[in-house]
Amino acid sequence: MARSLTRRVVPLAATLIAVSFLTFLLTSLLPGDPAVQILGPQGATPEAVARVRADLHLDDPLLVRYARWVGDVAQGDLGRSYRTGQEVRDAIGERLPVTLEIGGMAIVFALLGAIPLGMLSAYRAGGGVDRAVTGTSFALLAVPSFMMAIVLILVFAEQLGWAPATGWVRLSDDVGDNLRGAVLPALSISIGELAVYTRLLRSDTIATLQEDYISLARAKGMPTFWILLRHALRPSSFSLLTVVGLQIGAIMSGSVLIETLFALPGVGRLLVDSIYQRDLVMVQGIALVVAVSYVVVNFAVDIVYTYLDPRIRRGRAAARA
Amino acid sequence: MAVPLLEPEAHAEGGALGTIGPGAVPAGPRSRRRGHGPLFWAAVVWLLLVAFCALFATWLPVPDPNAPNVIDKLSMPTWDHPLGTDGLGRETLSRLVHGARVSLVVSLTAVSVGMVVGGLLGMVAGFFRGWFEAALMAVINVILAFPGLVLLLVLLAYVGQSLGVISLTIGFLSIPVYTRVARANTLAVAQREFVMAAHTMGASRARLLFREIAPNVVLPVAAFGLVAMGVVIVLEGALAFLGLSVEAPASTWGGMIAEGKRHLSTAPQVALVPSAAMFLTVLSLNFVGDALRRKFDVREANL
Amino acid sequence: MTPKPRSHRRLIALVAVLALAAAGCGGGDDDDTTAPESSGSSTTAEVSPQGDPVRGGSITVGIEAETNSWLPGSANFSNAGINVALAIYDPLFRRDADGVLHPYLAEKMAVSDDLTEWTVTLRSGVKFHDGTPLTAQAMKTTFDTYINATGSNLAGQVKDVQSVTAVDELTLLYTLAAPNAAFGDVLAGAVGWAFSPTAAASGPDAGSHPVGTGPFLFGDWQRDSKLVLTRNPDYWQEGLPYLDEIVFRPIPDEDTRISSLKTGDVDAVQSLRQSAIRQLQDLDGVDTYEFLGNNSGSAIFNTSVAPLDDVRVRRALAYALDQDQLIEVLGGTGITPAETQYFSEDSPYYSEAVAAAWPTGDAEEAAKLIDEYVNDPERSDGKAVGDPVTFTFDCPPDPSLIELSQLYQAFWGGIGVEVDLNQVEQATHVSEAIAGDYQAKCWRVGDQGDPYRTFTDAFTADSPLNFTRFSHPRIDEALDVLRTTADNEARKAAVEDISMVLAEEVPNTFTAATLSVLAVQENVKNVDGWTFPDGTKGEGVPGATTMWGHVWLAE
Repeated sequence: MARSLTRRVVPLAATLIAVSFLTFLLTSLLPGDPAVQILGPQGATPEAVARVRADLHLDDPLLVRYARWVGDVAQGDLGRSYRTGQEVRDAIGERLPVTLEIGGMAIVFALLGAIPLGMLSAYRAGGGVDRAVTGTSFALLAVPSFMMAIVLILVFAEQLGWAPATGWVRLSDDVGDNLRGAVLPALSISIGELAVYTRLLRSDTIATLQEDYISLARAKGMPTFWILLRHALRPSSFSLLTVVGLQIGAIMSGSVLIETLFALPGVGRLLVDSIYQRDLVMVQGIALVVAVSYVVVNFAVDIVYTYLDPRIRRGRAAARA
Repeated sequence: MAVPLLEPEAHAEGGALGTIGPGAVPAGPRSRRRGHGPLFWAAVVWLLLVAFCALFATWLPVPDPNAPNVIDKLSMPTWDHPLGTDGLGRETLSRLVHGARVSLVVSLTAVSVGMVVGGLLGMVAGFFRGWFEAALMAVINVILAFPGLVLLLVLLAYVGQSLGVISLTIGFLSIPVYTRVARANTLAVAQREFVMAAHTMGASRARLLFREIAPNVVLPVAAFGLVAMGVVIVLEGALAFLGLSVEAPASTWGGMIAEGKRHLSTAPQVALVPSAAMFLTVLSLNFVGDALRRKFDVREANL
Repeated sequence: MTPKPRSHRRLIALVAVLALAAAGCGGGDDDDTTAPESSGSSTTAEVSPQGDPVRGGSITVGIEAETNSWLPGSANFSNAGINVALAIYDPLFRRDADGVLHPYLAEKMAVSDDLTEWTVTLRSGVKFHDGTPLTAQAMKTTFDTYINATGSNLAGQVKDVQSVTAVDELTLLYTLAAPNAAFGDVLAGAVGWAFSPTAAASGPDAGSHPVGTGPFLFGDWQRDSKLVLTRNPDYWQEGLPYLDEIVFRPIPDEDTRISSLKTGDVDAVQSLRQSAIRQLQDLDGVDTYEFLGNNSGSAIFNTSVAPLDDVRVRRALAYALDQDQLIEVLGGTGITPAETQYFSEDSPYYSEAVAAAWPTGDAEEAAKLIDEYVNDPERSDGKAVGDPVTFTFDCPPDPSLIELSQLYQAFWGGIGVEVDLNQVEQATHVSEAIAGDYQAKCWRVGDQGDPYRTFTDAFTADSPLNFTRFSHPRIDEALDVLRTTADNEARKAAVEDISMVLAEEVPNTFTAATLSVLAVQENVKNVDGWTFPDGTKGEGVPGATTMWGHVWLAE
């Protein structure tokens, strides 16, 4: 166990170092001086720019700056934003819950729809229901989430008034208002995922339904929905869980467009604003957090396969890792 | 697609591609073998139409897509302007026709780059395994864990927002997905009886890889390419919203939607027409791609 | 939609008052302070009846963007940020309905004859939110530590200030290195916002916990989401503020912001987008308060590089534009007039002569000028005679700017000039402009500030903000007049001189004066009705900002 842990942890650490160094390198290559951004055009006199650059050590060689940053990170210090003076750690800490809640809710919505639809269309594979579900999920895949967001705002916020267009409320402030504010953005994201999940679950369930124990259950005269729910769902949700797991990593980085359209204080917007305003420390911090979460989630998914699933098909797990 | 920062569809793609692992059994027990339905043919016709527009846009009898005519701006569809005009009074139909070219080039290039490079790498890694596989997967992990938007912005800042750069960057960022899929398929196929048999009979490794394994990996990956093209087309739209698509005045579907958004309350057709074109194209790609995939799966089973 | 009537105020002169102030400023209520005025105009036409003031209530305001910090010197205040800042801080001066600077937090101001010593008297009995009293010493400390410091983004504005002295408890003396008639204008901005020196010294997070003297206390700030301000119970103006609470929400997407007003998620929004303004005007149950500013969209030309170093090319490019069509595309037809100089028609510095001289809307003349250049064997771009003029036009990736730049390109293409459009994101855009590393760029020019400041920044040889790299001896002469003269007619004549040079030399073009709007639900009252402590009426809602302490919520 300890050895296998080391064997896994070393490449993970290497990944993190590679990602953070690449981010460092690429953001330094971006044209546009961070000091000018901080001072604004009105304040960017040559002396002021020189002073700010010196304060931020922007004139040091790249490797020196990277080494300094790594040293700080090792002590738990992600630095302070060039632009706002806020601790990068705090800034990310404020945004992450928003992004996670929207992303998590989107996954839940998608699963709530995909499980019945996927199983039903697998059970009736080739039939009318199946074709309807398949067609619908293709249609949903073809709707960009930003269009979905615009339409949802027009219909549910402006016309029907069921949910607010903007106005994020922290979960700790008011649970009801928080959920109302999260519904439309989560729905916009979940539409595409719903389609993918449905397709995945359908194909896996079709395979499961051909297994002997299902035929046995049928022969025993168990009710259909009981067979589907009790016997077929769990073994069929293998690919689904893999994909959901992988997406948790992607969700951490948020969706810029959805967050902008709904004025959500999420990680995606922070990242893009920070890139645009050359807040390099912030970009660096976010890239690190996203990379860590990606790496950790994948690590966890691997562990879950190897140790928890008794029906694991090894080749498949390895292939997907 | 490995541009996780941009769009959830992009994430979804990773998942969708995951379905073509060897375990996927799309043809259900009840599915009857039959010809393609009218929907399939409608989709094929639409795609051919889009491809035709993209190829011959310059020669088609449509007005200059970049010629503004402010007097006629935001026009509803009329006899003169079959699909209306945009905020500058430019002909929506002709912009749509020329925009098809961008959508087609971006999606074809990005998917081919991702598929060829990623597919090859994945196959080699899955077949030879060992240090090459380990190193490759490490690199792949780095790309996946890296904020793709940063790379895109740097490239665009240095090379300019040309069609080529955007296509190649998206292609590059999608390499990991194809690598994973190709590797997964290779791993599975390599364990199949016919490969084992060829191996025992003394076939060379190169022969094994290219004659026995490759055909079984390429087909499912290629069949999925059409669906992936749809994803890239949507991604172009997302990039246009961020102002990161091909430079104006070139018309792109995403750019048309983004420019039309601010007229949504007064002249919704400006954004809706290109949205509909994008929707129909992606939908058609999904339908046709899925149908082709089912075909290939059947052949694979016969092997 | 018919355009709303807008009151046109052309104002004249106030130099007499300045002279009086300079003479010693002893006289009773005569505490008008002055610097020559520059004003846009507000309109309150067609708003619902205001009724009587009501105490209490809370409103939510949708603003365009988040602000990085609230500490003057390190904060970059856009219109969105100024809106919030005016609720937390009190400005020393502000412009009244006639565009004249008038004391708000200050009691009065006196200026020495040579325009180098500016004496500001503060009101007594004013306290910061943290309880410390507002004193001349406090103002001096914040000025020296945060405003006139290297790395401060306000340092450029106060570079003429030699020293600030606290003469006594409430008297502050700004000594300038050289005469500057426009210095009062500087004190009306962020330089003149009073903030607590103790709070500012509290450490690196001071920018997130601003302490001012304003009508509202800074409360919970969730960046990019919302900022809650609560009533200052010890506010120095009796009876103000009316509201118990204001919540500011940055909503970057223009359409979503308007949607939020329609759905009632917010009670007020600001907007500077012309097509959005029309939409807001048409909403039922919504009052719009508009302000026509001097600011205009523009194409700036780098006059130090070919082919834009040749005045024939620049004039041709201006002649080629049909401004009415540009305005139509922006959605501003009927609400925003075409701009021909750095001042809108409502500004006292507006000149009819310059408007008549401005080259615009004459494609023939444009083609003639371009032909002349193209066939000139000595042409500055070194190309062969007959080759087309080419250059690159950079714009940030904003949808309406992209649309507009394509129209520019079409107009210029119409006279045979080949223009490459180049999208550059904001950071690069600004850096390139400062470095002079471009040919032509989308920009915004003009502001509500004193013309001396505006033109010194934009058109003097050693200004880092001279993006066009354009300077001219006649401009230098006129600026000297502006700096050393408080005589209003002389100043106006000097400004007209500058505007005329710009119309002849065309370092930049103009589209239209920008109309900004604050749109509010009908029950939000007194949005533009704020007054000075002495009862003088204020200038309304410049740049969609207002004094929130005066706003109330009808029952």
